[in-house]
Amino acid sequence: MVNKKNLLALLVLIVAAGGVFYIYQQSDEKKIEKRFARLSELFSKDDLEPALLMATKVKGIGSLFAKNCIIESSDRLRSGNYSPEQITSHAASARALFRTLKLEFYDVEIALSGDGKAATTVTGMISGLSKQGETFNETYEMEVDLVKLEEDWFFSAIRMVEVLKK
Amino acid sequence: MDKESLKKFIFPRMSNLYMIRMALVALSAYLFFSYICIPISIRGISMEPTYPDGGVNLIWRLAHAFSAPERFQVVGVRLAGEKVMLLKRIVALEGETVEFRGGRLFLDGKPVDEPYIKYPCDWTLGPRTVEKGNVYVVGDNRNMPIRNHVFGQTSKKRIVGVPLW
Repeated sequence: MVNKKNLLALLVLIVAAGGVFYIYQQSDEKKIEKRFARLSELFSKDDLEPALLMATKVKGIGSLFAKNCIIESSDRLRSGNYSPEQITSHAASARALFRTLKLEFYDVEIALSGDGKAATTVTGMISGLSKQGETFNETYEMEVDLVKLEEDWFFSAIRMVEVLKK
Repeated sequence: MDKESLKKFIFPRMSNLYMIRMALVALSAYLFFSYICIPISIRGISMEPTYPDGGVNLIWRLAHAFSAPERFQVVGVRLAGEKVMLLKRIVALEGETVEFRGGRLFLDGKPVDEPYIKYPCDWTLGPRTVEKGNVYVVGDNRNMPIRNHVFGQTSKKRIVGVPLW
């Protein structure tokens, strides 16, 4: 039978794990992960999304970005410097083309530089159904930089990594 | 099996030995399915009909432990990590020139038979040489416009392994 000593050791382990988990929740890494989760939540949409919810979500997307966000992609038309307002406007236009949208982030690797900046690499997966009824599923590797302003993290640069070169 | 033995089998005694055995089984399963044989679910149609959308498989990571990736092998190509991979077929190795003419694959100027291609294809892509340390990967479903199909050359270091079936 499991004796009292083992039960006590198990209890101590559980408490220690709980402590580590609590500390991790307060860390910059966790805050950054939550930022990606928030972007994913705001960008995604269901069919027949109410107009008020759409407006709130689109406005929220812009609020996650720094005053100047650099976007670099192989598509030169999309590359450039964007303000939060421009991001909001582009996000609204993009979302309007689709009936459903799902943005997911995986494998978020975070490197903190200690001066309020963070460099991350992440896999972004976007899928959905267009207004014409076409399904799509695209995956990207991205290098995303964030800056910390008053305890919050904001996206400041997004670079698309060319994994396969035609 | 008598009633008592059956009861023991379904509800074993939680002895220290039993707990250790359980922990070892859980640890072994975690290590095996995280680092040696990665379970995947297939999303998308780029490898149809060989690997249909919604299928499941396991990526065998030790496939290239003692051998180099080979032409026509299907491989998992990692992105930022290994939670999401691209499933593609190697069609050319480093130093080879790849080209598509009227939907047909040409390697170093010679046409190549691809029995795994089941759908019609009309792709045209000018010749390009695969750089050192790279392989050229393409999906089996070439019945989609070339601009919509994700393919091209990638570093061999990105290859995670091969699907088990």
